Amino acid sequence: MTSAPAILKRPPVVLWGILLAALWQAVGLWSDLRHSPYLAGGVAALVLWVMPVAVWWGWPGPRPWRRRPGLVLAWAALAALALGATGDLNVLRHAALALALAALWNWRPERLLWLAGAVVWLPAAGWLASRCELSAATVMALRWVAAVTLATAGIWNVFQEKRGGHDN
Amino acid sequence: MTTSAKSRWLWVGLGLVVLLTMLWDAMPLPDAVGHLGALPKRGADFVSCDLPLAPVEDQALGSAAHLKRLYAWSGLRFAVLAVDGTRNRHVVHDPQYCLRGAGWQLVSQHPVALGAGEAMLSRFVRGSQAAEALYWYTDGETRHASPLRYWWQATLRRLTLGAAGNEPILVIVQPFDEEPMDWHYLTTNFLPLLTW
Repeated sequence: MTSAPAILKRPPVVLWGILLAALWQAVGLWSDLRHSPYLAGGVAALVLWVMPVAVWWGWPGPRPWRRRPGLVLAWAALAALALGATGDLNVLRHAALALALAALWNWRPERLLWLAGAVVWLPAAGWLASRCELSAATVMALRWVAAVTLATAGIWNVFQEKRGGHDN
Repeated sequence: MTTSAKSRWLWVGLGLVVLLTMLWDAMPLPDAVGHLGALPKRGADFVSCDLPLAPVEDQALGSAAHLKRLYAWSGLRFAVLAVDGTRNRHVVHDPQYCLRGAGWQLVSQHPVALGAGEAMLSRFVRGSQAAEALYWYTDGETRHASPLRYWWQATLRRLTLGAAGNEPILVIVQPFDEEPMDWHYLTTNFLPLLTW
């Protein structure tokens, strides 16, 4: 038996299947993000948060993919999906969506910050903010600042990876 | 293990998750409609009538079973809104989250004994307006005012397909008139709510 390479030329197709399942499970997210006052600007924050992954995929050339962290993220997404579906837990469905997206690009340690930055669009974070006595306007301002920062840093990180030849 | 074998296991995992999702969706949970209906509409010293939902409530509750009534008892008039989230647990929110989201600011809150359990009395202001709400969650056996505990109860119930207990309902009581409400008198003497 041949050992598996540490870095693949591209992510396996099954990750798109997991992302589709996560999107299917998180279908109510769009309504939540548009109607809850504490989630105002959440759709734009989600789009900004996804931008680095989109740029990574849109960049011409090879898409090297680290196998081990990618598989761990994919299994974590599946576990979150299973628990989210059986417990009817939106927070896990949303976490599964974040993990499925994270599995789709070449994992690097600094991208853990980007993954944690999913709080900019997670509806559960809006509830936590309300418990901290923050006003909806303050939460929206913080969301914008964090989402723009994450998108900028994430895209810069992709740029460095692609230009610097890391993992290529 | 080769990469293609690991991908194959991911496909198997994905298939299992899809199967599990469809299975859980196909198995309906016993609801709490009977529990909602157990609140008497009239008694020896009180009467009630159904109230229509406000448009914002109607939109938020959707298909969730609920009741909204105006009660008159011992000189007090108060509205009771109760929601059963069996069909859609996500409509049962932390009441403070909803009010804060609507621009209300929490001024004070304190727990109030209610029968063998506990409710939360919260006071809010928005500009020159003031509002009070007493809320709790009850499964017919226990009463508490913790959204996190509700979250856990509802989750455990779904994970076990209803074996973990009855569906808790959210009850919110608000004064109907502008006069101050004697909450202590209500929560220690109005038996239908204490035993609901």
